[in-house]
Amino acid sequence: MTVRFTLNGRPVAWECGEGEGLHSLLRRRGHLPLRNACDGEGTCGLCTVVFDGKTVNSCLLLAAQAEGHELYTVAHLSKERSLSLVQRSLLDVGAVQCGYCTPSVALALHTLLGRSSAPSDGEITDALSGILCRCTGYKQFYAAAHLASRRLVDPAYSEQVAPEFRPELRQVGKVREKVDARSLVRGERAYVEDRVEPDACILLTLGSPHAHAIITRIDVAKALAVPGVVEILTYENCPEVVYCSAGQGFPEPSPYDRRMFSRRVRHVGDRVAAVMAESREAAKAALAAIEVDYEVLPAVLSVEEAAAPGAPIIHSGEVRYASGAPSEGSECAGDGEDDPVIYQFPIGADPHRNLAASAHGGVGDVARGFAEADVTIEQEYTATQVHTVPMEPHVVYTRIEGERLVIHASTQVSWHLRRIVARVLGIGENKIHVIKERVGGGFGVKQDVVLEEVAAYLTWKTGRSVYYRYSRVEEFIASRTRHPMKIAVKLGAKRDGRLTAIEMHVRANTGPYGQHALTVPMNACSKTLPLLPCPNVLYDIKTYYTNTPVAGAYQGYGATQGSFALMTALAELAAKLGLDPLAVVEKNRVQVGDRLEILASLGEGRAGQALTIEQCSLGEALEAGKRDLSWGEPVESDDGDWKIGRGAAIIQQGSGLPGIDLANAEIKLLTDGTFFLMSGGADIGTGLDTVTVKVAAEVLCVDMQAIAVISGDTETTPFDKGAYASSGTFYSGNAALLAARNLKGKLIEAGAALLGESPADCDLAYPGMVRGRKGSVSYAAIALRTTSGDGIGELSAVGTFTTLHSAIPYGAHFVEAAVNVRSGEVKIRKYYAYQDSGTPINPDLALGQIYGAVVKSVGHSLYEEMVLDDKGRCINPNFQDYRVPTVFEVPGDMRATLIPTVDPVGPFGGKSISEVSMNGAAPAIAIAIHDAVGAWVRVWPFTAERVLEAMGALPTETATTRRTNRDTE
Amino acid sequence: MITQFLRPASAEEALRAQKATENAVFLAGGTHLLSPALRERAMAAVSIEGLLPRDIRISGELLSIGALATLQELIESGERGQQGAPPSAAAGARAAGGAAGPVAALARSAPAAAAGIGGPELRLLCEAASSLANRNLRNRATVGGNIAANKPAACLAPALLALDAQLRLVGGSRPSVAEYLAAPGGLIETAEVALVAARSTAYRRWARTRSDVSGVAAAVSLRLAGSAVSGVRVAVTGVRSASGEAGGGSRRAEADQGAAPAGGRVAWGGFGAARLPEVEALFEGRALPERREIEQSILPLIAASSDIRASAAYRRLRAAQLIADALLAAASSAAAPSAGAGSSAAGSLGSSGRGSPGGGAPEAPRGKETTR
Repeated sequence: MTVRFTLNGRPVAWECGEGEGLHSLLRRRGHLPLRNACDGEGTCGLCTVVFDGKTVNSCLLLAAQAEGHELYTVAHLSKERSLSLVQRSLLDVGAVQCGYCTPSVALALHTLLGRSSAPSDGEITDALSGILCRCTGYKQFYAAAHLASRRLVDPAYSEQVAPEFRPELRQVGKVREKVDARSLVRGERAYVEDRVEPDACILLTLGSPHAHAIITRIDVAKALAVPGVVEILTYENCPEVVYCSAGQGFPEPSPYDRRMFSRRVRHVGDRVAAVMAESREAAKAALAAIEVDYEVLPAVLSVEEAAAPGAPIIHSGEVRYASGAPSEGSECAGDGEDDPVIYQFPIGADPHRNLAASAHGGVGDVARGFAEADVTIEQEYTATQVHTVPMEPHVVYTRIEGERLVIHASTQVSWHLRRIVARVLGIGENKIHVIKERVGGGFGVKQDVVLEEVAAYLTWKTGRSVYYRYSRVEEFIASRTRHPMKIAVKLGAKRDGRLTAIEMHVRANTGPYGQHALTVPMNACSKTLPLLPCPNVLYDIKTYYTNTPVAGAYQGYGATQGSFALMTALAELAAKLGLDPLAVVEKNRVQVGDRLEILASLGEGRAGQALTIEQCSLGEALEAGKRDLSWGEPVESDDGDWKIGRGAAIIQQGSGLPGIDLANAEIKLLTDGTFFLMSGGADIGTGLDTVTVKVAAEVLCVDMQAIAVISGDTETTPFDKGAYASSGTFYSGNAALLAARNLKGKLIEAGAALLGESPADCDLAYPGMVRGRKGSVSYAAIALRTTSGDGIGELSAVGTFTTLHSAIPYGAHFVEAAVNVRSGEVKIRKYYAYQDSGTPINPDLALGQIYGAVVKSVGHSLYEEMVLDDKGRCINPNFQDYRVPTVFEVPGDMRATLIPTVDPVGPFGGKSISEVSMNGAAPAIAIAIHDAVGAWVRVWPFTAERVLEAMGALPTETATTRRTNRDTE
Repeated sequence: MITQFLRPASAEEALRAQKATENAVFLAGGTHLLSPALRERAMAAVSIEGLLPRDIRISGELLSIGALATLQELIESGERGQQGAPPSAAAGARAAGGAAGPVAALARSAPAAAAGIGGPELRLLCEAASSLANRNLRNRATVGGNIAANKPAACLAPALLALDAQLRLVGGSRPSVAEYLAAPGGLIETAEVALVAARSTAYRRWARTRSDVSGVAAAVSLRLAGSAVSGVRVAVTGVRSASGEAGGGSRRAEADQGAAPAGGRVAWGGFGAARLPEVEALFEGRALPERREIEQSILPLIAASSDIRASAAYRRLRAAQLIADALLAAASSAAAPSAGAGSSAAGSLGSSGRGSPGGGAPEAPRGKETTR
């Protein structure tokens, strides 16, 4: 049928199917910024269009329903690449991160201002109520709306949106435009999905319906006969090679324990077969035609079940070590029925007892420490399974270009991705070109190679392009989640609160595959114990295989779970001693000059090193929080049902992996005196490209506009370990800094020659010149000279950064919460985060990183949880049932304060920011709940029911019947 | 999956087309029919766009809501009504009735009549509508569709039941909402609520988050004479009467109806909208006891089931609390109309963040207004 409507001010008459969705039609016709995160559930709002003046979800409209109506998309706001007032304001306040939701937010605020030129915060909340964002914590959207509202009256109006730092510097520490924000706010071609060509084949996967089973028969004959089907992969025709999906530096501290497809399926949603077809319909039909018989095996659904004697074994194949010897007493001989498991080096594993990794160590003598203690406490804390939930699910587009394979990836680890795909395909890395597109949210989950290798293999095999995008359900059940953990903490202390001994027992669940099996749980200890230097410490970590959804990296890594356990336990100790929890923190926290011997035993698969703390801003952070929250002064509730309490926690993270990570950048002078920066770093929406451009501009004495950047492209930019472990600013930023410094030397030399002066007498000067004692010469003139017939050639320089220096970002998070004593509901009234990120290089974006982390962590503290049934099936793999925080869940008063320090090694003193901010919410909220109602909640999320249960206000038998008993009471 | 798209010229033609076409469904906003739950079902869409009333008006003693009014339009009509109507003018002024006309016009030109519009009936419906806390969806979802989709956690149904609302179907039949929900069918033209003098209403819900579907929702309507309440109506979603005899389509969640949910765990295992006659009878003609006593007396009369949102025990507890809160709020606003809307959100505590980013969450902690 033909549908006629007005789109962006122009009449259109387009052919569409009677049942075709409007979203599909518009994307088909090239209107790209209609994203999709909820698969048409209507809960994400990323496909927003304005329909007769109102924002609606285009995924919940038929194209036919547009007949006669007036529609516009974000393209309507930016004629000829200009920016509308709302778009400009979003950009100015630093509200553009990954950009996946930004066009929809722009439309929501644009229509809001149309009906209310000076909107209240309540109206802004309402306007954004249908749009999910995982990056920003929504806070800066309010600032953007208010800024745009002021500009309706005064178009020239501007304001200071964030504090600025380091007045002696021109770019670093200043609020500057994020380098990719214009393009993202206009909704231009940026993500993997925007690269797909019309002739691309679609790839769909058949997932296992069982948590644990052996495929006894698989027949794809009927499926292959479906017209349009190109190829079908199963364990029978996929590469034999085993590998590890974690994008970690080689050799990885994680087992190679998966094949592309295995005869053995180990979790619900585990790959059984992949269908490559010329249309989605053909692929779906083929999936349905695949015949599979399973021998269902008993499933292991918890670490307790995994550790129990006689437990079903999840990996029964041969265990091999590339180097080093297996753990004493572990079995290595396989049963001949399963794929092998290969460890690059020993990590305390014993797969035939479901043990994927283990570690233990400590300092001093905990037995003596507990003997000296006046009081001890011992508690267990449970971090249930939560999902990263990037708005853009895992997605890849692969194609052949000449004799090479091109991978358009949404990844944090371009080079690790290339290495892993090369291994699986058995081809050289020189045959593979990985292009990191804009990433619609990473947060750690895109550190793993979750689907790229399947598409890559099929493209390499068939020569045809493949588009593979996870559905939201697949993203929940078959990508990566935060490791569920049970952490038992035992503390001993003197009466005055001084710790005499700490024990942490971590039991982590890695799911059926062991990516990050050692390092995530290690972080639960290595990023928390150094906060509380204590002479006697013991940690013990065991990571088990289970048949539950696969775990992996999520912003904060294991530190988030570890902080919850250790900081809550410390507050429980304070309560037992009758002391203020912060007094006990103060008595035990790390101070400048402390020697952290514990770190020597907390390496990640290799020896760690003890560290003397040179800088620590925790004292300042704690003082600021106490002052701002009037800590210690009682808060009276004016409503008997609601009690108010406060909590606080100190937190830390790292800035990359000293001695393991490496980053490169290259910068060259173009013939007009501008620059081109090639950074290996992967900007996943955090502003890393802005960091690298900013530090290079600072060194080269130019404005940021003089430097164009591309990044994360394995062909045109140099190697970088990728964006994880909080390494972006510290490693990739420093690589850009070093490249710029090296180029600076060359510029001075070339400039001095032109000026006829000694290089020692010359320096760079703003804007863009070499200045000597007698005169100056512009970069353009230098470039012209060096690239002319008698020139020395194009000026370019490389920077390579490695270090053994450990730059620790610290923080303190303060919470004031109200708890309803009848319902158990918790409302966050105030959330104040104090963060030391060294020199905040992008202050506005740093604040956005903190807000985003706070709201995500409020999410897992209060609402988010993947729930499995007794067969290991996740029953809430969608946004209606798994509650990602919306704009309504933003704490009433959320503030972030940057406490600057200057790291001696970081670029212009910068350290990491985003991960650390995940670690404060769970302990601070748990402590606030206790302060309010006197009950400890030790299982996240602290749902209303769990809080009421902890208060003893709900009969306890419901705890066991909960969720397992559907019978009506 | 929509296999066919029909665009009839009139409501009557739509009705005929629906009867004549296999698997035909009426398509209004589309937020339900086009959702993933129904995506695999082959359906012929009969568009009813422009064929049915969309306005919200008052005619004499009748509040009438066009089936094609969106939930957002319903809310905005309530907001306009409130702006035009000082709350003190409430019940008495309504007796004056008013000429038929759109709400907005009434609010401007006939404040006495408009006072009725901003009154307890519309306020209850508006609050119920705003529990769909997603503006993009409210801009499409229609009043008729919300009723006809008949989802267990539908937002309008408990409010309509508490108001003894009636539907007018194309072709003239006039089932009550309770009758319709028990046996849905036909094409809804308008929903109608009789304006009752001295009525007071309140709406309360519990959900994990503001935009989650309600775990429990309760709508209450009553009249206050002296200290005694009468005409008590209590309608809920999420729980049901313990006697199992509740009227008005007490249904298990969709998730419960299809394949047996795995391991007894379901995402939403509540019950569909129904009145609770036993609860109503407890208080009819009496002065309301204090909160704790109301809760205790309600608790044995309601049943619930467990799902991932809550255990049955928690759901029952919350239902008893919310019904008690709603009853007391309604009685208190009836006793002191100048104190403000009985069904308005209050809660001094949770609203403390209002005015700061994110703090504008309309779902403030509740239960305070009865004592203020």
